[in-house]
Amino acid sequence: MTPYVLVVDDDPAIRMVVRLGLERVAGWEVVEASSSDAAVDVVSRRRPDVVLLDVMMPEQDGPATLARLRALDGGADLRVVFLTASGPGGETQRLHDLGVAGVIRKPFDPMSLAAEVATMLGWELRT
Amino acid sequence: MNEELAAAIAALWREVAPEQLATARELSAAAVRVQEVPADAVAWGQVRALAHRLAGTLGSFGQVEAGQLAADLEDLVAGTTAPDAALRDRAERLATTLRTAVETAVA
Repeated sequence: MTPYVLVVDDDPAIRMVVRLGLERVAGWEVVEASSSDAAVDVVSRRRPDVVLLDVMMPEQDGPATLARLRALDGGADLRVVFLTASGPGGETQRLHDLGVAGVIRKPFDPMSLAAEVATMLGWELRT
Repeated sequence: MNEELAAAIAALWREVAPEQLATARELSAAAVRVQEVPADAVAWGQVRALAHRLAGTLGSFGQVEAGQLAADLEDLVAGTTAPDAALRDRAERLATTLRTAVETAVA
């Protein structure tokens, strides 16, 4: 079955390059959301196999959005990977401690992004 | 696949480049405003937020040099809410260099 991936980021350029990497390399189905509210709406309608969630967004940030997604019906075990432009260190550990599947730093290489996500989730990548 | 994807990323860069350039120019202008009005917390907040955004975006499109400049600027201003004159000066110079790098990448 083709993985269904939600990308949440307020920067349209990031959403586009993530979509490009995941669709072209892995053939995954990608849907985008530009805000916390849009992400909640998407997940409420169809549960994604994984959510790639930006940390620093205006209004409600990544951790706040994660809490909202977790509160949805069936959201407790939703797989989430944070995207962050912050450097390694305490911030990354704090994000891991929120119970996500992984943390990917921006900038990332769109050519290897799907492989990185697949490794975090224990998925086999079919190219 | 790599060549095809690289070409697609390059095409996508051409699509998003004008917005990245506008962001770099907005960042540079904010850094100048902070020099002119050191107490302008809004402008300083813009410098921090826009440097963060460009640091994440430019490198993901293979714009390594410009992305590194944005990351350097983000590191420089991180955690500082009331920059002194030396920091404001370094931030403005780095923002100008970043703007020039993005202008070159877009040209």
